[in-house]
Amino acid sequence: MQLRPLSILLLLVFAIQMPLLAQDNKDNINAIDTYFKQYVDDDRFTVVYISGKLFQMLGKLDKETLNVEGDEEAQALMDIAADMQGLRILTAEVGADALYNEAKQKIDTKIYQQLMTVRSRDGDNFELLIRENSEGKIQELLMLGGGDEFVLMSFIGNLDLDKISRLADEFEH
Amino acid sequence: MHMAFDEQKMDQLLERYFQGETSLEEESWIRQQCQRPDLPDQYLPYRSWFTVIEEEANRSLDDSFETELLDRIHRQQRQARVRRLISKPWQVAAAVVLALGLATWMWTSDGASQWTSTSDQIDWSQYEPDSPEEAAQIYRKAMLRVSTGMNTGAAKAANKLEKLEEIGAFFK
Repeated sequence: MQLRPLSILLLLVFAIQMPLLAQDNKDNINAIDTYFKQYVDDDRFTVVYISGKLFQMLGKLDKETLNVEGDEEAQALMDIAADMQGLRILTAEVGADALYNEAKQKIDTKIYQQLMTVRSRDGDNFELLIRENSEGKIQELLMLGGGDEFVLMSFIGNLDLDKISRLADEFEH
Repeated sequence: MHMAFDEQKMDQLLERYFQGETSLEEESWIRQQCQRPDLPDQYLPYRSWFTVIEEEANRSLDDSFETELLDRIHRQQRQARVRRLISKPWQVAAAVVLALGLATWMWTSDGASQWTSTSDQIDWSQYEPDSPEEAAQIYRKAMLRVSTGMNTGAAKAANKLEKLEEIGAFFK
């Protein structure tokens, strides 16, 4: 059988696109791997990772273990945990502001949209960014914090801002 | 009978010749002088130079040369056409594939920086908490931090809005 150039062209296009589309859906794409890889092996930083499997196990824990104040808070926490595929945390107590500014410069704002920026009088900085997938759903929530401590948290999963907002309300009450 | 050799004119014209300033007539005159049997010794080295040029200028090619040259040109054109007919669709296909691939890469995979960065390069499992209980505590603290930031931001925004309303009321 002889393939026409157009058929070969279409096959090649699909061959190129498939791994890229597959990669887009991988849950391991995150800001820390992309921009802050060098911090992970740096002794100044505390690194924590909670995998998707651990999040699944959280659903089996009771309220006391979770150390929550009420059923609604526990429910709000579990609702978000059910959608979570990974949480990566980097913290450092030395040079927090410099690290915060460096992190802000490194994050590509073409990929991460700014959701909220807070700058308080006592020097505590807070920034929330999101990364959406090709369907417009939030795939990653990135939190940057400066001030007394530098905090960088990358939440990966099918995230729902309404659920996070509900939890924020519960924490406030 | 030859006229007397005009050394002064010869010197002048030779100098101008090597500066590229002589006319065709003047060059012809030099050539003629160089062929004279009574050419003074100091001009003998120029004889061979101008004789060769004279010979080359008078050389003619026979018809077979032209025929062979045209034949070669036609052969090359035929070969070139065959090569283009084979390769052009492939060139177009390759260009389109590259362009589409690059565009897809830029649009769907959040840019080039992620191409080289996958979690395979960091062994995240070594940073996992020892138990689900510990993970739960960390998760709650993380969400508390995010929530506090969001609430602070919301409060600040509300405060700003309130102030704006006050300013608006003042100007009414």
